[in-house]
Amino acid sequence: MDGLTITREEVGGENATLVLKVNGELTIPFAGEFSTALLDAFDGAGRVLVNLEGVSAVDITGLQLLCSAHRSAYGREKELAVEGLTNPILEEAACLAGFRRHVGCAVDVGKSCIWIGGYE
Amino acid sequence: MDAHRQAYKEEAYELLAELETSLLELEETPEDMDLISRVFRAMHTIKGSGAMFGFDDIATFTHEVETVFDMVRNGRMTVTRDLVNLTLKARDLIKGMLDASDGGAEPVEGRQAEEVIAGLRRLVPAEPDGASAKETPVGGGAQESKRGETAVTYRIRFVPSPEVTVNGTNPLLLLAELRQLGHCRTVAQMAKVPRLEEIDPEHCHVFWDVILTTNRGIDAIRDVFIFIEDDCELKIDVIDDGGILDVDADYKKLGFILAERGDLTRQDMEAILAKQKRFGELLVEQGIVSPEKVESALIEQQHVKEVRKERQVQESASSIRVPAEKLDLLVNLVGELVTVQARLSQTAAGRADALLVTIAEEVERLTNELRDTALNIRMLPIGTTFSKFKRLVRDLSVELGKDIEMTTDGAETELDKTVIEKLNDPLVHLIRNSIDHGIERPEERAAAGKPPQGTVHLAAVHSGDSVLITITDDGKGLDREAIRAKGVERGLIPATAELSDKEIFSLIFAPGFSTATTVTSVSGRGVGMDVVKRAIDALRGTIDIRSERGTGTVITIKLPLTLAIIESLLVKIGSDCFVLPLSVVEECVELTREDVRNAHGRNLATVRDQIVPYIPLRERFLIRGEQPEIEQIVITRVGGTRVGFVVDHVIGEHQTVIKSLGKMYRDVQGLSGATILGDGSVALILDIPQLVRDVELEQMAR
Repeated sequence: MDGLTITREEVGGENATLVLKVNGELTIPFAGEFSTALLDAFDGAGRVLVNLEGVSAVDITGLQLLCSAHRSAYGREKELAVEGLTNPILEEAACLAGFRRHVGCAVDVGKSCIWIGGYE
Repeated sequence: MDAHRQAYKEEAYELLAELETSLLELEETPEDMDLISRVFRAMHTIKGSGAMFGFDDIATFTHEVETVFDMVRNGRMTVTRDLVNLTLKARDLIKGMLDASDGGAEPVEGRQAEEVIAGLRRLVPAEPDGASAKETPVGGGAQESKRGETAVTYRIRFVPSPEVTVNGTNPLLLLAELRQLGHCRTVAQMAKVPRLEEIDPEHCHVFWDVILTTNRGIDAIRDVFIFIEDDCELKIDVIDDGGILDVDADYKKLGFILAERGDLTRQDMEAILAKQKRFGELLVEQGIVSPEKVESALIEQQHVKEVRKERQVQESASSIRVPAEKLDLLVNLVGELVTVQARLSQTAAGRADALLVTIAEEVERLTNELRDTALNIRMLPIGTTFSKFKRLVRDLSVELGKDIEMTTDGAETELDKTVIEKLNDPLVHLIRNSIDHGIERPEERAAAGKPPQGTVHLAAVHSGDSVLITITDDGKGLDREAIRAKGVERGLIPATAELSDKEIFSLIFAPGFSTATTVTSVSGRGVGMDVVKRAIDALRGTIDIRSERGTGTVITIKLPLTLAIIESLLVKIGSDCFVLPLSVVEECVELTREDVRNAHGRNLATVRDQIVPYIPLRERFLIRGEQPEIEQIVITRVGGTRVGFVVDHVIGEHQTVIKSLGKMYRDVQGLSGATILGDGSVALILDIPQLVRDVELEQMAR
């Protein structure tokens, strides 16, 4: 078990970007932790960048939290960006779970759905 | 079980042939993943079915080779010349094992197999974790649909209860299991995923639409969900039944798919349809259906379309395996039928019975169709023979220290199975000649300003009722003067003769000619060009050589499409009927007694100011009786020259079913077979080239 570690780093001065660097497992035992970390991030910064390069495992809870965060960002008029989706672990899970798509969901007005493209 | 073993052997031989072709191609394009997979699949099938039918030695050996190719397939190893060499050797050993399996040949020595395996293992890069020998199932299960079972496409809507994750189930594992069942597309529906503020992160808020094409049946799908039956909503619909009911490759319109799924009401659908815009866009615009659901439905539409398209391709490619003897029997029976039908037509024509004539005509029509179909069944693409030669060229050029590339064209050209089989030896001989004597060593080629790599090009093409096979090399060509000198020395041609290239080159087909001169010798391979010539003659084909000193040689073989039934010309001498193959006949002219007198005892006729030599068949066959006042000359073209055959009457075109003359008459020269006519009498089929040759030899002897 790798557990989950999330490090926060602020980049830039005004209207700063908060980088959440996620290492370890985005799985159900750590779902609460990940959820809280995301919520906290939105409380602070205007733009949140989640870096997933260090993710070593992911399940449905992890995937759906990314969607959920995307929706929250809209609700709060903040910006969410995701890095490291090419991490093979994430790619495989997104493909298996059928998250990859051509168009975003109904909420995705800004066409920033992270799952677009890379469709099997 | 014996029948199964036999079927396995046949399949294995085919796979081995394919394996050889793939390997040789792979040598040229070592990066081609498609080819690597093909090699792997061939090995895998040989191994798998080998074990099933008790060919344990083959299964064990092939397993080792397959393991290596699995590494290549997974990118852990690259294709090298050594690998191809060893794998070709392995292929030969597998073939040896197959040959020996029923005591038909010497068993393969275990040592040889061990050597190959050891060689292959040496090529395997060292693996720190020692995982090299691990076997991986082929194709991830998805492609391994068993042949012969119908693949059905299902739409599965899987809505797990939110607590399913908390109860210890991982929905992704279930989806992975579904994926194992067949070709599968998964679409997650995330519309119900709440925002971070409201979400219970440990619950599952997603549900799925899965479109799955499988031949495992609905129970296999239900089994996947068996442990969470009470913890989910599961709806499984058959959306494509494997082609039992439908024939249309198109699939339902988007609106109907959504309505069927319960995502859209029919009323809404009809209201939208009335607007005539792209249906999916409209639905989304109006907010009736979410974009995800539309996308999911579109994926279903596309999936089924693909499945159906693939099935149509498969159906058209489906085939059954029949032993060749059965086909031969069928063709023989059809031949008999054609003969009987001719008798029926003749009998009917002789009686003024309208009903009988109608029936005879009907039978004739059906017989003709049946004949064409039966002959067609025996047609095979010549490509398999071509690929064998690729190996020959490769091995021989290495042996002789030459760099030779073989190219082919028209591998899909179809020829009668028997013709292809009998063509093998002459082609091997001709190709050997090209490599051995035609193409020069790299340094000689470079000195002559040619690319160091020589080319042998093998091509097949249809031309009317014949097939032309050409062997082209870019070697040094035939030495016209040397051949001429040899011909004069051997007394085949007079020293003063003015001969065309064609006539001179045809000298190399004379028996015994090939052994002496360095230009055309086949260096003790045991057969000369005369054997090639005879084999081609036996197939009622012709062979033609064009060659230019320094640039290369083109050998063209012209063959009839089939050996069983030929179009021919029926002629009569006295009370006997004879048959000439129509393919060599050019025209028929009259020969009067006056013409004969004017020729002063020489057998020459003047046709449109051209002198045509003829052979009086009545005289030649010693047929008694008086010849008619006006005889007929049937003019044929043999090896580029026109030769006439004098007969009493020309009856007309005839569909000739060829019968062999039987062992008693095996050595009779000038006849290539016999046929049974409509009235039950026998007509002999003339071997035109042989007759001409005989007369030429007699004249030279004089």
